[in-house]
Amino acid sequence: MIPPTLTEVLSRASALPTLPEVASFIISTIEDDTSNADSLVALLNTDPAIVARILAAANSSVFGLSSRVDSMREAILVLGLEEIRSITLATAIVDRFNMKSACFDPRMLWRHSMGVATCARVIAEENQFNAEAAFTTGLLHDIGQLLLFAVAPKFFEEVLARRQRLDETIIEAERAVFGFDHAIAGGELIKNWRLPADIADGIYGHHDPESGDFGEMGDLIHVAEVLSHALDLGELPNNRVPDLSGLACARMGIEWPAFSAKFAEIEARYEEILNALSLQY
Amino acid sequence: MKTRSICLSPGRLQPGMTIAAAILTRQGDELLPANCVLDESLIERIRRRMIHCIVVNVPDDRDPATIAHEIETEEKRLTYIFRGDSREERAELLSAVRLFRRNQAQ
Repeated sequence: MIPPTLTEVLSRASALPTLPEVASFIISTIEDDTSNADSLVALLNTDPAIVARILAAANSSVFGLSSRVDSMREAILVLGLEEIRSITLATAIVDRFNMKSACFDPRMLWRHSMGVATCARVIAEENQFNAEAAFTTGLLHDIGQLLLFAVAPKFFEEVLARRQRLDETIIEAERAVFGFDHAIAGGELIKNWRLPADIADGIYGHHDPESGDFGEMGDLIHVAEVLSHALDLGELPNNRVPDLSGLACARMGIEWPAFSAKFAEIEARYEEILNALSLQY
Repeated sequence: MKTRSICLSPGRLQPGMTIAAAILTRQGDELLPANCVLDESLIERIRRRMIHCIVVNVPDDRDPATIAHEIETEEKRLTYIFRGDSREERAELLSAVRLFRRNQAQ
């Protein structure tokens, strides 16, 4: 059997569930400073599953408040709009893209994606970039893997087996099996979904930001991805830290001895978000 | 009693813990000073400020052999996950993570 081409994979992208409406809304308002809590609350309240998840998160031991939070409006007041948007987005996406097989456990992918999203947010905050856009891009950075798995599961399982057998990077194994990789598949998918261009750039560039002009988001997600592996967030059994672009670090102004002061915070925030989403081990 | 400093998320704070370093708000103002002993109301104040990392002193009853073993385990894991060739930047990241893990273990 011949693996599908990139065009064929994208033409079969309907094999992936569509983005939930609330996730699309959050992403589309990422750069909209005028978007307010009212419109988000109205939308959230149309989705009982998300309301339940947010309230459970707000009342969980992670936030550990002594008084009960029993409405979305109160949850926003207590947790802040930024946190609510992150939890909602992550919940909506993780729940929707919950495909699994004997060889592929999306929970591992999501734990890794949460790690990259957390690193991206902290790096963005340090650099006064848009932290929400960084978090969202980190969350979606490996969506191309889900697409490949949804469209061509047998070939994707071959990628995973090859990666394990030869200790290759996922990119090397995908290029060997498909002739292209999840970064390009994911970037194209995000473009097809008409999400903001910098999210697509971050996804295209996350493994090799020097191979094109992917803007600051390409550099940011690349550095976040490598840092997430280095801090072992997600603790993938066969974790291997990818190579790191010195150019991307320089463009981001990151010097590791200084930035290491943020490592403990990253680990604490990662633990928080995993607990809030019930993705912990 | 011997203590060590660790960073905890707000959900893991307990009354009676002592803050090792002053807690600052996102604006850089001091919320709580170092050596402040936490109670329920202070913990709730920290949680409501969405502060994500609080350095506290906790009792440390580990003996030197246990600490050495923890450092060795961390070092083995780091060597494994950083396997393969490295460009200079990746090697610098490894040094930073190694120092962080050693400080964490000690």
